[in-house]
Amino acid sequence: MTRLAPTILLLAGLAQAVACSRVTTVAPEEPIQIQARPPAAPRPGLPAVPQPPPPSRVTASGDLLSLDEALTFDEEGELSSEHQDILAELARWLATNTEVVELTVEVHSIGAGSRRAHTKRSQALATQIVDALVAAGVDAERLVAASVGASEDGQRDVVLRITARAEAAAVEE
Amino acid sequence: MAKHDVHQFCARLGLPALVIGLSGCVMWMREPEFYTEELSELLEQRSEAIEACYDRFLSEEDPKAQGEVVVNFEVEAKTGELTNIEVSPDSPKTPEALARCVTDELDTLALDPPDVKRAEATFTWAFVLGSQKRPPADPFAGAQEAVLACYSDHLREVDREARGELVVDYALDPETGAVAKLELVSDATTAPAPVVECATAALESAHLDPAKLDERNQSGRRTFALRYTPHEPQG
Repeated sequence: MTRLAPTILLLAGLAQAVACSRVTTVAPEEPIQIQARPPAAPRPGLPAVPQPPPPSRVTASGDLLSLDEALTFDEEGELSSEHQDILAELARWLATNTEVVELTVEVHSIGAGSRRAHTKRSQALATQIVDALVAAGVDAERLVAASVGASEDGQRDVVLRITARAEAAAVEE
Repeated sequence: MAKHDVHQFCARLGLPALVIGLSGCVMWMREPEFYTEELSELLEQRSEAIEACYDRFLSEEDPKAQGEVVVNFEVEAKTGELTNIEVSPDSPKTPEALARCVTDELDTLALDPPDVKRAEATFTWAFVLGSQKRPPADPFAGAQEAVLACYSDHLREVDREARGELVVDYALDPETGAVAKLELVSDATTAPAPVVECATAALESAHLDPAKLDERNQSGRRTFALRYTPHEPQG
């Protein structure tokens, strides 16, 4: 038995050497599954709010109407053609505000001339505005072109004055 | 390893199951099939961490990312350490960050007990998308109406064409769900100052049921885009 011991040890050593020299190949067919959930959809933003309507370009204060654009005339006293929009807006305002039964247009004239000449010139200036409003659809019976004469400050100031209103009950009818 | 596992383990050890070294050490030698099973179990211990890494990638980089990563590595004899970990040249084209989710985790593993034999391993990880997460509860849902009122008032009274963004960094108290911090991000905020002042006051009063808090809504940055639908004249 003692003679066999070295042989056994030698064989064991050889077995280990042989075993350690081999390489195990590991390659499973099935993949390792890794699952995760995609992030939640982005949170919706705040809803859009409705934009308020634009402020009226025509505002009434007592018996006077104000426009957000001054009506102007050229050197020859011709109403500027740039005012089509605001005159159309004024026509719409009059169409909406039916209780205004009469609007008087006053324009002071400028330059040299007699009182009579200014009276005529002032009337002519106001008439241009009235005509433009009539062309925009306003009933001519609701408009008056007044003659107010010469300007004191050298400006052709335009005044839109409500000179007659319907009674509330009459408007409802 | 539980006792019954040990029995099962021993029963499945191949021949020679144990090799007695000249030094007297006892080392294990696994059959290939058993080696594969044991190594798979070892790797799957890190599946949760890799899932978390994948989850982060989906949230921060690409919500649609998926695919497979094939990784080659070796298991050192006697120590069980995983070495030479690298993405296989044959691996399908997958984002590098996803591959790193795997290789970084493998780097810390070791087969225990080790084997007398070195192993060359090739494993595949399949990254699969699950169903989409539900959105977290909105802490500011209750304040939305007040914020919009601030904006609408400004449109009506100051500037009907105002628009912009209100950006805040916030944190909620985890105990009460109330707003604990609300800081304006000035660089990113473009909404008019009066709206910002009014809206932040409304946001400060926001509150969320603490039971609905999670890491996604407890704190963070929030952008409120203030916009309007243009007025359409009637007729």
